[in-house]
Amino acid sequence: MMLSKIKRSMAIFAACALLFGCAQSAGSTQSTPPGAPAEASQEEPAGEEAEDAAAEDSGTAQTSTEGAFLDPADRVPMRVGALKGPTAIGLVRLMNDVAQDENAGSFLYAFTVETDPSAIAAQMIGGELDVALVPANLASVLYNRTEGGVVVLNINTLGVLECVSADDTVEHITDLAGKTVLSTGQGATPEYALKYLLDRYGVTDCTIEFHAEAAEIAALMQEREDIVAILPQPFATVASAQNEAYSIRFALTDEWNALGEDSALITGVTVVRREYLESLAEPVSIDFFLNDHTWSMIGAMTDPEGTAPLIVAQEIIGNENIAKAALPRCGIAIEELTDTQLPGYAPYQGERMKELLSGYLQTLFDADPSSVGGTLPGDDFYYIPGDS
Amino acid sequence: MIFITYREIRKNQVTKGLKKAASILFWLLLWQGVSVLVHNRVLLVGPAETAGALWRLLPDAAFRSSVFFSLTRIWAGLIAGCVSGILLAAISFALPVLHTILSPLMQAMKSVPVACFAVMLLIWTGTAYTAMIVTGLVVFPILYLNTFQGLCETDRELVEIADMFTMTRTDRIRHLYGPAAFPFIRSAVQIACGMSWKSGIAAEVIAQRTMTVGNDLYRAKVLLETDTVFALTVVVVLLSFLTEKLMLHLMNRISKA
Repeated sequence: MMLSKIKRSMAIFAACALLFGCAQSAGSTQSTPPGAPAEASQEEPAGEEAEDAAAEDSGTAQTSTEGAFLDPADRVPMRVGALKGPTAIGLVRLMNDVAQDENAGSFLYAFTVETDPSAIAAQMIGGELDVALVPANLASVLYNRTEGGVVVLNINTLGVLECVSADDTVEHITDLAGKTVLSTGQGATPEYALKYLLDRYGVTDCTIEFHAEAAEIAALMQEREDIVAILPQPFATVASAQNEAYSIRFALTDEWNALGEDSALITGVTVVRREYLESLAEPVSIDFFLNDHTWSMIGAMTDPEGTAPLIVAQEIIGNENIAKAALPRCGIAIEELTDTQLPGYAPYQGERMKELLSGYLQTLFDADPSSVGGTLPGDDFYYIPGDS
Repeated sequence: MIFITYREIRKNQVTKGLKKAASILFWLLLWQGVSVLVHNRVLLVGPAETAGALWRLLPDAAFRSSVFFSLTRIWAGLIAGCVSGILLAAISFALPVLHTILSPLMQAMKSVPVACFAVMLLIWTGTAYTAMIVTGLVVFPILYLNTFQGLCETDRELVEIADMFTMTRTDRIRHLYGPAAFPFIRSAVQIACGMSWKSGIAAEVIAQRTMTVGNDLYRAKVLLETDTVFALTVVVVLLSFLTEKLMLHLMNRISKA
């Protein structure tokens, strides 16, 4: 069952990767806005079609998937660190597959899940992790602190920040004026995204009160009904499910996109230690990891039913139903392709990642250079497949 | 030879000063040496980089307002904890039943981790007063227990004499209990000064109240600015030292009065 699902999503991904590749090389621009892969689950039938189509077109699809398998004897260890939150959700399927069968991945994976981004950062610097899923600005900070010692592989999480409140007059960022807003993620994406939006929308009298963990804010929301909070998914769903008075009022991603600027709100990216990346020799390549990760993300997006229990098993969310409800809003960075002949999905990698991420980091840098570690990373920060 | 000339005293002081300077220099050099060996600006920075970060911080208005905020809150907590600890100890001494009731609570408070106080206060009072109340709660049992012990050490014979001469209560406090408890209170205050900064900053880190030294420390940690972490540590150590000197000076003034 599990295997057939993996194979299915593989086929879909393969067909799309091919198409996406063509679209890219033809220089056509993607008109689909990044940021809303949310309704994927409802597009399940389209996914089935893609499967059929991919099956019919198996000739081309097969050739592109064949390379995704590595002789098990060639596999090398890879230590992957993730954060307990939205960034890890795209990874839970891979984690589960590996837990059930250690040969399921292209690498001999060892996963570490932490709650504190700096714990992951410290392990990356100390060489105890090879690959890490970190907040976008922290990736740049790591690059600067290690003098270029990390390389970014993909965008794994788009905007996941949402405003939760019991007050139904709160509908936009401008409604936060004069209010005290509780938020997590000081020094990470939530703080910078929120401050940037407040600044751009001209809100000057909003007080931000930071808390270390979303659970802390959720606890406060259980006893008080006057709280306005900015929480990342899935915690926004968890908190609003706990107390009926609360509901999700608006998504910061929508407010960001409404500015009409050429940048997207990016939450999480995947980085690899340069030393590790350079140690990989034929036939091993980091591209195998990217494929594993992409399949895992597509799986989480297209199959909430099957992924929800895995999210609970990883202790990211305590309740399966809430996990299922939150999944479509978790910003999994897979783009649904609608303007191509075959419906399909594409990850944010290579040139496309570079364009979006560098634009986002530039925005952060303009607002506060220390948020990205003082300077913007150079071109060698971005991993472009087949460009080594 | 019991007689020591003024010159010999001076000479002694100078050599003592030199020894102190040499030992500080020794540790600074060792620190610099290790940091050069480690050669990783995230894992460890040397004294030179720390001084550089300090130089960058000092003219920063935001940093100075952080220091001001933390300083006033921690001092308020320290003084409130000290005064209430001493007063309650005096009352307990007069009313032994109160001491029996309070002593298990004091023993427990002494061992409750700062993190527990901070987390509970965050839920009860929000982030604004967390550091101040935590500081007070940490300092309070230290002063209570030491003052009480000091009062118990009062010479029994002197008390009997005071009874014979029907000494007034004010005089007893001034000439009997005060002098007996003072050395205990003095050493307790000295410990409390150090503890107030340790616990206050820890509470600020947990509370994440912006514009406090503890939160600056947290941000520096998140953004992997190790040099700033070290510079802030130096600032806290200096503030703690300053607090201790000021409080001891204050204590001496009170004892003379």
